[in-house]
Amino acid sequence: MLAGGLWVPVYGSTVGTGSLYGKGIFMPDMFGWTGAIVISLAILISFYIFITRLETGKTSIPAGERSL
Amino acid sequence: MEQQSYLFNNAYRKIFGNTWPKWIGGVLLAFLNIALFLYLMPLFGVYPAMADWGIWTYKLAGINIPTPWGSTLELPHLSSRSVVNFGLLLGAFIGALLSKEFMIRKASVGAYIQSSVGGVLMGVGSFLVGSCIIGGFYSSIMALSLSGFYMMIGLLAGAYIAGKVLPVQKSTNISDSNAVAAANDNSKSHLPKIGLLMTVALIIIATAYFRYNRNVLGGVILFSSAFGLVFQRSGLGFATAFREVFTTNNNDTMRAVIISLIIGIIGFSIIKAYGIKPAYMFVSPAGWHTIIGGFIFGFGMVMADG
Repeated sequence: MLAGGLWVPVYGSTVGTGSLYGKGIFMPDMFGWTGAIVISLAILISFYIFITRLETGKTSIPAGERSL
Repeated sequence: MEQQSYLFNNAYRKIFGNTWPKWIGGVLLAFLNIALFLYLMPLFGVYPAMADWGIWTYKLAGINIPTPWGSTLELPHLSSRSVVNFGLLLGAFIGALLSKEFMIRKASVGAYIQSSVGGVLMGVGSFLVGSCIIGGFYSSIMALSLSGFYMMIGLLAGAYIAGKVLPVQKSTNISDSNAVAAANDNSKSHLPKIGLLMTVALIIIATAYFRYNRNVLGGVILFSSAFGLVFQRSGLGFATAFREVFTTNNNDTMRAVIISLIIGIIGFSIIKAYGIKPAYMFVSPAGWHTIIGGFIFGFGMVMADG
């Protein structure tokens, strides 16, 4: 809370202004509506599969050999 | 009458007896966010209000700092940003009381220090991204803002590194919550009564907002309380989702978040594509600052265990 309140003193500008932030990037502008939705869903579904496989891989390792 | 009492008790036990499956929490959050988007704008998270509260704290200490938004600093109860936070806290509090899970837990001095440092990092990360994990990641991805995916990369990297270098902290999990509720079953039967009082208080507050033509705030506190309740009942935490990917072998939370995002993307896309809401609403700048901010936030949230 206290760190967040220091935004303007640290950055020297408000949200969305200044050279640091730049412009908002709306994915349909880059890829079209269909492309943006397909790419977004593909990323999420791929990540879903990845973490499920990661989970399966961890459970197959003996407890004593698992690392954090 | 007996049958009605039985049905009520059965329903109450189903809703507040056990923690909800995470995927149900994810689905409900998605539909709530779609509904809130239609009403006002997507859930922008806790950071905007936290920044305001920080500035209020500095103001009370005699230090005047401009708001990050370039707007006038509003009184908390009249600011939609702050009311969102109040609603989230109130909803979660009501859920904890009605399910008899409310308990004041103590931690070690070291844990408080570590959590404080983690909290500072989360604040720093938030203002690099421009929002916290809810606004910068969750709602941004639903709104098809590229910044959401950039923050996701940073969060994963930060959580991964933190998971490797920091000692594992004991955190309350679902089974602990149910055990707490069971243990409190007889001894803390007054908690649901307090929960009921808080629910009445919420209705009174919302009614007062509507009565005095603060309709937006009335709707916001009801929506955000619903969010808070779902977060508490399902135990769905975004920080937990990222932390668990690399530190445990249970990714139910992250899977629920992904399901929620998929539903949200479809809902938000329909709303924006048909012009019901502006297409550029909740589209944030995306750049290196988003990834770095996400990394710092991710590291900090694992450190803070929250």
